Amino acid sequence: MAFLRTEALTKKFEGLCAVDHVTFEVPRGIILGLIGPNGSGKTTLFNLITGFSQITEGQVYFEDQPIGGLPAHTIAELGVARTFQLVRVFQSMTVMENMMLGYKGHVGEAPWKAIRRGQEYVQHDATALAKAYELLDVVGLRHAANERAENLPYAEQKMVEIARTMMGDPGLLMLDEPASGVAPALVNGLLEYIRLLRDQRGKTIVVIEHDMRVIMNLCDRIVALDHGAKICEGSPAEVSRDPNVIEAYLGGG
Amino acid sequence: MGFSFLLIHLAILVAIYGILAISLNLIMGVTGLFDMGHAAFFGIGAYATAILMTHFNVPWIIAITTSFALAGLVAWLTGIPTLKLRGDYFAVVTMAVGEIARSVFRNWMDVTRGPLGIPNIPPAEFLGVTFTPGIPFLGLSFVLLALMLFLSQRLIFSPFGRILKGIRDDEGAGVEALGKDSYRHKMRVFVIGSGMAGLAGSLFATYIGYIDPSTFTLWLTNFILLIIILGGKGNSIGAVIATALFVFLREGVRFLGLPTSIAAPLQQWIFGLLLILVMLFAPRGLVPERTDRWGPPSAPTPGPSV
Repeated sequence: MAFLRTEALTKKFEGLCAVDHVTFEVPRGIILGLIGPNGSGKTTLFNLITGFSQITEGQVYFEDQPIGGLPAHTIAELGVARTFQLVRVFQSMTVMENMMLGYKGHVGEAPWKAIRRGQEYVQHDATALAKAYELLDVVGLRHAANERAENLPYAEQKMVEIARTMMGDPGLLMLDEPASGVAPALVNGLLEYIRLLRDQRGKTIVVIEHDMRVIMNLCDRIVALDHGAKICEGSPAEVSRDPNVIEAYLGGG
Repeated sequence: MGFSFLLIHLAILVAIYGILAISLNLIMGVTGLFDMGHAAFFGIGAYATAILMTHFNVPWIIAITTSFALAGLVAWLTGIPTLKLRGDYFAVVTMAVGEIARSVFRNWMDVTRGPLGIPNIPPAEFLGVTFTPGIPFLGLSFVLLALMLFLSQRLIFSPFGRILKGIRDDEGAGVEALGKDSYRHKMRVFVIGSGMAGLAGSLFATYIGYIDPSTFTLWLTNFILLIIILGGKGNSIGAVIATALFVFLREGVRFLGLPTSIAAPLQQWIFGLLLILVMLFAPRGLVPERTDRWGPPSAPTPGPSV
């Protein structure tokens, strides 16, 4: 049984087929890499799965429930969390405010409960705060809790973004180029963290990545896209030998 | 006697416009929704109270509550088609709403008496106390100002407020990815903020005792917008401080004894200069937005380490 499954997922932009009948499965508890040259439709595929872009054709199943066409926030609520290629940490807010925002189901999201601040509110606040500190400890950013996100180095903002998605206890984590823009020396720590999420927290993770070395030593399974279509699928070793993939990356003319 | 009466008058204006600034700050400063029709909601509140109290002898407490509710309702109706749009469209549509409201005030003679305005609005009265202009009304307006300030602070520093700031920081996509419905929260803050503006309008009507359409123009919206930028976007205390500064400066110029032909442009000059100075030396405003802070982090909890 697949945790996430797409069925002939298609996105057309006025004639251009950005994602072309892509069918793939993500079994529970693995890290799946999504690779392909620029413009091959990786991010569009992410947007379709997470509801940030309208599906032209096809369907997405999360835990065997069809989720295609649902609004983005509903899909996130169901347990599909994502990050963005360019970091989307809220710049004017502190690290802790960002973390607290990631918490799901706080009664204080309703204005009247935010004003009243009853017992339930206080409880939710305490739970969220404890969880946030715990997650910040894992990435070593507890000391930066009250720092505005804009003052953090880019790599740390990326860490905060991933840790923030963890506040909502997602079943599935979709990371769009987590290592891009991160200094090479810091990439290993980031990969370590992603592995830890799989091994210790049992998360299922889909990663878009350009850097082949990163993808090869991080992923359990790889799906390769080119011109919107799936050209290959398999273990890292299999995919790196695949003639279609080599052709797509090195460009045959 | 005359001077202290003037001070009380100015303080009351600070309270009324302060509430208006707090309300626009929630919508624009905190959430980043460029609401160019805020004066309309102030006007709707003022007209609702004026009409209810003069035509129907409705008790003040019901009139002011209706003003709040009616302004909120109109905001809700405006929000349905517009809050899903991108920010700039929202600005254009709310500006249009402001103009529509003004032309309704001007032309619906049977109800609003058009340019003649509505005179003889009775003073606020509650629990046997009549809040006549002067100390009694000063008390009432400051109680309401304090209440609105309290409510807005509670809202800003809460999970609700964090969602609003998140919406401002990247047009909603970021909070959607965290499972928050950005449309729903924009709607909530737009309705609450507009309702507060309606409440301020109601206060204005019962204080002055006379309203006409010339008050509720785009100029008023701009004036409040300037106040928020000056005070510090997102900070409601800053909004109130900047309101006080503006109101006292404006009236202060009036009392320099200059002829009107000089005093009027001088006001604009001073406001312009003030704004430029703030932009240059305090780009976040006089009282910059405050972040929510949590106690000093205690020792890390023992747990799985990397």
